[in-house]
Amino acid sequence: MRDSKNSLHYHLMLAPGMILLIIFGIVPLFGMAIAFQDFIPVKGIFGSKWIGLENFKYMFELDDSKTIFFNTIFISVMKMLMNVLIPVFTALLLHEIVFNRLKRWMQTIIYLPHFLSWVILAGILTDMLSQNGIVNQVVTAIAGEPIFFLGSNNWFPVVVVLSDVWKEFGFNTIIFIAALTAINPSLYEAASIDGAGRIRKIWSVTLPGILPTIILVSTLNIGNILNAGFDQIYNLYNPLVYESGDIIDTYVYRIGLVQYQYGLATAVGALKSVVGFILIFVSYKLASRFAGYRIF
Amino acid sequence: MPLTGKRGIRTTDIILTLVMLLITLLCLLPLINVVSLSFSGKSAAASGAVTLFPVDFTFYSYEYMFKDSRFFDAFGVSVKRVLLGGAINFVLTIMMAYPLARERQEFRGRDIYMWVIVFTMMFTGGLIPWYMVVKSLHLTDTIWALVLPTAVPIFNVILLMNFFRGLPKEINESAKMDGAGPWRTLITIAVPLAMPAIATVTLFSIVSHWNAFFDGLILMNKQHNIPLQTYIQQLVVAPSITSSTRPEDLINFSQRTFNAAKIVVTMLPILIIYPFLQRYFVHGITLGSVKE
Amino acid sequence: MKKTLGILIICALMVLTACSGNNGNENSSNNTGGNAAGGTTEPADPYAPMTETVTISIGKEAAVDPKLPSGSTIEDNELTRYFAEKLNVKYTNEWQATGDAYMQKVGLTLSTGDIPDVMIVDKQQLVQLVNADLIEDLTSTYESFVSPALKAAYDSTDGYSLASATFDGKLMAFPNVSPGADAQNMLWVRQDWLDELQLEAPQTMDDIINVTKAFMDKKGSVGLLGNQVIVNIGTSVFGFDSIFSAYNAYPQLWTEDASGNAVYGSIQPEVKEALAKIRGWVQEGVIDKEFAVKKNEQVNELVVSGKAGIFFGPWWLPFGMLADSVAQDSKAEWVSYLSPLSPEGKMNTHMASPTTRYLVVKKGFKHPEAVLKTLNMQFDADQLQGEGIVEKDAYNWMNMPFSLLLSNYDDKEKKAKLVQDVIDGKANADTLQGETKQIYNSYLKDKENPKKDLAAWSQRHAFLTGALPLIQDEKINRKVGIYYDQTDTMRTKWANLRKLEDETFLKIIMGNEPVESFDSFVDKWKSQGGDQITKEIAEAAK
Repeated sequence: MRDSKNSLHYHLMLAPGMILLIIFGIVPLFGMAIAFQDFIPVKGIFGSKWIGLENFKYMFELDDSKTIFFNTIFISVMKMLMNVLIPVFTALLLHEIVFNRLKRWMQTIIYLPHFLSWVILAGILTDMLSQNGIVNQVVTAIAGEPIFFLGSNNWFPVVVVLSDVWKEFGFNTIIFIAALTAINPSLYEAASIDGAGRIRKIWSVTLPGILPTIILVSTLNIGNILNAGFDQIYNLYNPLVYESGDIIDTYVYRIGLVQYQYGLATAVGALKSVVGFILIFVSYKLASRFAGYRIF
Repeated sequence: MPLTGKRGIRTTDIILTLVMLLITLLCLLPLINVVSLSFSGKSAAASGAVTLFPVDFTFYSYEYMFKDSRFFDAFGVSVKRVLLGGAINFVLTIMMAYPLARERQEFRGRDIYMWVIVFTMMFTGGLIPWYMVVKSLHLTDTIWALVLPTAVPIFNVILLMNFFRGLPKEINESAKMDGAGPWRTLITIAVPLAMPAIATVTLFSIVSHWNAFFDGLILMNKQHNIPLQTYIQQLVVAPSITSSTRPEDLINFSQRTFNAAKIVVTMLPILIIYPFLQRYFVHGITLGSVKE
Repeated sequence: MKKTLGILIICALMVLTACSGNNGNENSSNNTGGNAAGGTTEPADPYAPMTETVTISIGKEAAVDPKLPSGSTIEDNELTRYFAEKLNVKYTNEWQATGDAYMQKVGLTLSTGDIPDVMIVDKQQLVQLVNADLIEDLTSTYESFVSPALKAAYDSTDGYSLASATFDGKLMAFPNVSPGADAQNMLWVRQDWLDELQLEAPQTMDDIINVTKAFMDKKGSVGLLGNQVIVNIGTSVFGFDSIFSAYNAYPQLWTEDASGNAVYGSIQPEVKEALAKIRGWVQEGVIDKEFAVKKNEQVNELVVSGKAGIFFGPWWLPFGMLADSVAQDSKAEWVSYLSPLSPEGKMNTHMASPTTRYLVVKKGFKHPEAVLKTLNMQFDADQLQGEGIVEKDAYNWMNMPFSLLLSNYDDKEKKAKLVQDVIDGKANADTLQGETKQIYNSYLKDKENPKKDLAAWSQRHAFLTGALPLIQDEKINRKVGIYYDQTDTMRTKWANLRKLEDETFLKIIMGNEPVESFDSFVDKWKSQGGDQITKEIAEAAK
């Protein structure tokens, strides 16, 4: 009885937000119809020609669609992994720092690269990675030969992933730091009594404590598997590294330069959403089965 | 902090701190570069001479931004947006995260809500229908166009929901024993306990409101209604060469120094707000008065 | 010709009826009488004010202009107030955006159907609007109300501009006219270095390479600069366009072969030859291979910091990075040459389409002539650079009501010549007005105090160093494309073909692939849709 009464309040709490979500999130979904159209703006959604799966077919019939899909997934998966590992590591490291004031400063500073734009960062990176840039000075000292980082298909994805991690790790670190504060301190006390050292405590108290957050962040990241980061790659790539760096978004962008292809762009968006949603759903199921934790 | 207690500082602490300092430095250097660029002369910046200190020190980039009275209009719009939008985000995030954190036995229908929300997060109808909705509600050119479509930051809701879930179950039970209804439990118990997470999502929501420029571009028609980031965006984005512009117009834009100044403006509120919010990262559940 | 006459007559009739209609409605016959002072048989006065106030709502393309004094905005400034008063027209900006955002706004207004009275669209949007019958036929308006000066500007493109806005004999938009100078690249060289090393001005490609080598050896500079976009028909800075055209190759340009068939420039054998040459220079190190991974901004650095002294670029560079270069090193003397010369002794260059933007008037808008009259005045005001109109505001053509760039096709080089004639004593300074007067003043200012006032330096050198050489028609072979728009098949295939092309060319140049891969590129290009597109273009260009 009591519970059902509470349920009413819960519905009420959710109502305002849900209404807004439906208006601004669900209603516009009718626009996905564009993905099945040869959409022409002046004709509108109701007047444009229906072409079925043409737009989707086009995506897969491209000569290099395989390369493009592979690049997209490869780059985004690498980013995904690194964007969990490094922030977790950083959060743990920060957690261990005993100088509080310093710690706060460091926490703020590592968040800041998140706000730099790729236009600016690309400039900094190109300078650093050029033949006589600071990185290649080190490389030359060690290996004798400078590396053509941004012109090599072996190195380009590495540069993309590492620079992205560098830009974003502070952002995710905050989330993990917030999660760390939720760990019950009595657990540490108990561990101390058991004679656990620093490492043991991290392993048996801290990590399990933030595991749900790790699963959560990873799962949400998985939804972005087909977003490898347009802004970044657009500002860093060149035709030499199309082979390893051309992703769905950059390719669609170049198609758009020829002609606005609202239909194709929407189809790409829809594909990304469907794939992302399925992956999120699957990893949710896996997480709840194997880790026993439901994030949604 | 939980580790230190009253023990002294050990070598490990020093080493860890040094490692972390190194990482911080790695983030700091490009930031210093950007700040220096924003205070450098146009031609010095264009020559690539600026590294860690401004060359030909000047406020020009900032003057260029601030000179126009519309800067202050735009600044006003942004402040309004952050306050109103942040407040809406704050209230709705909490109000949505809390019921969603209930067990499904306790709150039937929870799962349906949840998957609708996740679905909305993943799928978008694209720019055109979204614009049509906002327009048909006559929100364009009002502040509401900037705060209502973004009223529910789904990522934040999920984050906070998970945090609520992590709170000890006994808390709710004891509240119930005291005869507190869901609203009172939420406000007097759950929210204070979840402050670290709430501070985090508030930070995210303020940041995203402050930095959003695209909706201002699309949904605002009158120039006095555009928010600061949209204003700056229009200021620093040179007209594309493909449009009917003159190449010689492009020289008015020293991309580099303006872009840098723009980023500094972007970061300002974070530098102001973050240290303040950080207080909440330290306390949180360690207060633990509920346990007793 | 007959058709035009017929249209003219119809227009004249329409104007007459329109006038009488107004008279009947408004009791303002006196007013109209005053305007028609020029004589009643004339088509119409292209500058006459409207008898009643006409409001025009505009989808305005403009950035924020912080140079406007407070109290003035893009919507309401000295220029717009002047136009409003002179023409009895009220201009309101329905919305305002710049760059990509502008095009997005246009797309949104098109799809929601509430288009403003006037906006500026691209070719594709124009075609859509024509097909959907959403815009006014402007044929008669143009014939009756165009000013002689604006008409001359349109005629300066040999009819190309108007033709591209004409559908089934009807003029559906007022096209823009961009100056032809923008697409013609020249060789920019540090003259002070040339002089110091006692080198001749380079003429052929070999000369250019020798000078580059000398600069590298003696001045410690990097080699000839490049752009990862190796050819750009519209605006190319550091591009290799000039090298290709020196070998009679015109990548990316649709041209006619000897027998009059449409052909695509990038797949011609001359391109292979040029690619092999460039590849050799990259291997030799005469061209700095970093160009492939750098964006223009980073390449600019080399110029500004004095690490580069030779490259290809358009006339207006003194307005941009060259001014920065002079600011950094006052010894820098930049000179442009018509170079490399082909064996025939001419500099070959591709030409861009003079028209890429179209001003459209919403269907049912009552007074399209108010729009054209505004354009008439805009053209004149722009020629004068706002002289006599702008007092407090700094002149910026974007602050006029419509952001449609209108200029004579040979605007830049002609103005440069006028000024040069005065400098040479061949003409009197009184003949100059507007922009030419400004250029002359800049010249005087910069001569008096060289490189002190960089704005003056920029204007002087953009025109008198950059644009002036382009007046020598006998030394330039201008290759005009036969087609600059998009065909149907391009819509689906072009991005792919372009990727193939960019990838292959850059890889050949960088030595990642043998020169012979050009041949397989050509085969692939043809089979993957290129042949089809060529057919369509042959059809369309007829």
